[in-house]
Amino acid sequence: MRGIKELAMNRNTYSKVIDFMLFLIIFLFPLFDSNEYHLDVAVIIGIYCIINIGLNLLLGNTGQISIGQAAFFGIGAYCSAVLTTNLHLTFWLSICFAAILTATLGISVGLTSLKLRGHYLAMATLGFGIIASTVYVEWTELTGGTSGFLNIPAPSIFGFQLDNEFKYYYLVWAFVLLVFISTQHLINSRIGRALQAIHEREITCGAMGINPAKYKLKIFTLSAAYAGIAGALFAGFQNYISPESFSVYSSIIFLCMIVIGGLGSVWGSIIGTVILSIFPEFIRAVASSEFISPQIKAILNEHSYHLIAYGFFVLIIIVFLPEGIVGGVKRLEAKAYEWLHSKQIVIE
Amino acid sequence: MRTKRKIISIVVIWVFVMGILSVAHAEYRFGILNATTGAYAGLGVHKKKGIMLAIEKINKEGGINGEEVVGIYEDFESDPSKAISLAKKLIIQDKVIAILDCGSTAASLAVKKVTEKRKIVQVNTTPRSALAVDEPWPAYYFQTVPDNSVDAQKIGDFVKSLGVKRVSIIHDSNQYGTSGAIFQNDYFKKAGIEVVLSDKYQKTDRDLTSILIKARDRKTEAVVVWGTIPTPAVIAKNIRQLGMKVHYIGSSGLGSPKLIQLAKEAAEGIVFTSALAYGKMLPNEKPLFDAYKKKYDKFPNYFTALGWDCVMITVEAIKRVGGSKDTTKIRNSLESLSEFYGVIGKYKMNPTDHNGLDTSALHLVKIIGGKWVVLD
Repeated sequence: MRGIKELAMNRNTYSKVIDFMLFLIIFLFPLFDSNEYHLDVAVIIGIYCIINIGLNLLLGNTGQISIGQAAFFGIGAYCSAVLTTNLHLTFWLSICFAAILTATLGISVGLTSLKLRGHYLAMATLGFGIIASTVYVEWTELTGGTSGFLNIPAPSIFGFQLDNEFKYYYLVWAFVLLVFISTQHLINSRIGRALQAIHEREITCGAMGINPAKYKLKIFTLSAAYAGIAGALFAGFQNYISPESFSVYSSIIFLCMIVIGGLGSVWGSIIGTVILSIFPEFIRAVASSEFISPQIKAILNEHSYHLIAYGFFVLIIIVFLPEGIVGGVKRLEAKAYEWLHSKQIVIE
Repeated sequence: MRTKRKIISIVVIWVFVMGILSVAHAEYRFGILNATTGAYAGLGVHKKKGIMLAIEKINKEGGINGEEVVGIYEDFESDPSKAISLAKKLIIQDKVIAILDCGSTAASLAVKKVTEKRKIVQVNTTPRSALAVDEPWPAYYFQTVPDNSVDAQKIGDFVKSLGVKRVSIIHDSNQYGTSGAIFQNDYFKKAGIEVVLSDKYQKTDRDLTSILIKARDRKTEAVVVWGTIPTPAVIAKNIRQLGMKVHYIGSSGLGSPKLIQLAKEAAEGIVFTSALAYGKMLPNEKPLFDAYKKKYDKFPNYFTALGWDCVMITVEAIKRVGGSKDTTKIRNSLESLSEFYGVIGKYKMNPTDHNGLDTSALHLVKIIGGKWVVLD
């Protein structure tokens, strides 16, 4: 018995050590790889991570689906763009306003749509996503319509301009760390357990004194605010935004990312985002490498092969790892744990 | 264990040798930022064909000073923010000396910041925004397509010659259509022609009867359409369904064989501007027509020509500075590129105009009996 307890404690500290190590790697990465294009991809990954951690909290932990996450992402981006470019507010104020605005919208959308369940909730949030896309295109005076919003200033801290990929990398990943820690705490708190209970048995929860509607609304609002923050970061980094980045298609990609990474796990959101963002780059690298003959290269160049490969890759993961990559790893870990445990007893 | 070690060492050596080979190979690298998926795919595929054919032709003729021209292709999926990332990739990772095409006006403007910062020439195929016309040309920003103001003038002159007094302008809500409509409105105001309706549509709209009924009620005599295929074909069909007897004049964006395929007999009588003089082969157009006919057994369209010219003017600029790979030198050479005949027309670039085409580059094409006929 003692052995198991010790192991369990060890396991807790061991996962903390792993968290620390992984973040250490993330924060040291730019020092080893100074290729600005790689950093550019890493910044976008960081921004998507913030959205996906929120989305995973909603879908993985609470069991509520949202196909309108890109809409909140876009609202945050346009809010920050308008405030910093037209009204000349600082980036930091604009990011606060973006979070507040998306949270408020999250409450109003959540109040009406969270009464729905399953497919109907998906439909409602999808509708919201489409409405938002139309607004970006049609409200030309404010958003610039399809031509996009130009000349968004880069943020600065105390007069220090964050105008290149290297500096921005640290800004974005600091935000990811912040969101990661707060979400991890949330999941391990009473609220987290309540969310898990709502996910499993909503009606029983109501009978046990947990108000499911209240919790669902809170989490929906929080995930909207995360997306809003990510939007503001995106606008400041790209210096340019257009409606294409916030389409329903993006919402679906976000869902794919967390499903592939692993539902209900914060690391799952990050890993899924990293893998689905890097995979196209990987195919691109393979297709343009010296190992492939010019004839095949010409064929690959002629067609949009990467989309096919991408789809195939997603399909394979879903078929062989239905609980996502983190789920797969956990299954392996449990097996190893079991094996260790049996050894322990023999030793005792 | 030993065989494993052997395999590893062989792989390492191979990678190393390949690395050396790829470094040792001297060439001119052009980044091609184009969209063959998404909203701009319809134009993107044609531009891509033009670019690839031009590169093929240059290499067949010995490249630049015996060095090969290599086009590194990236599809930005019609998403301008993806275009920004890919432009960085092309410049930093692939070390290209120029970025060609850029697919849409929005993408060209989005990429502008990257190309200006890193001093890389951007030769795009998209007209500049009407909002940016009063601003000076960005230093590294060049274009092969006649500016929308030129197109608007050509269309306006034709409408004037028809003796029409009341016109409607219907345009795509994108940057191209919107800025075209602004120029067109200006022209008609100056020419004393009344614009009874100016309205926009979305690229995805499949019925524009409501706009056309408004135009009919306001007794319009001509409809000027600023947009790209497929929606102008929908407008042609709707005009026929409503039984309207009006002149239909379109911008260069209509110049695609799809117009006749989609609108069928409703396309009859449509007049649009085109940089290519079909059936009246001009000497500067011959190389593209020959190369295209040989490969695809068809006539190239306007967008293919835009892509082709992108490569041709960049190569010409590089040749004029003795094959230099210095991007600032290439830029200066492009800026002073005058008296050069591309397929589109005669480029007369100068510091105040990084395009240098005028109305002489454009022709009027009318659809008669399901065929394109050049009017001038």
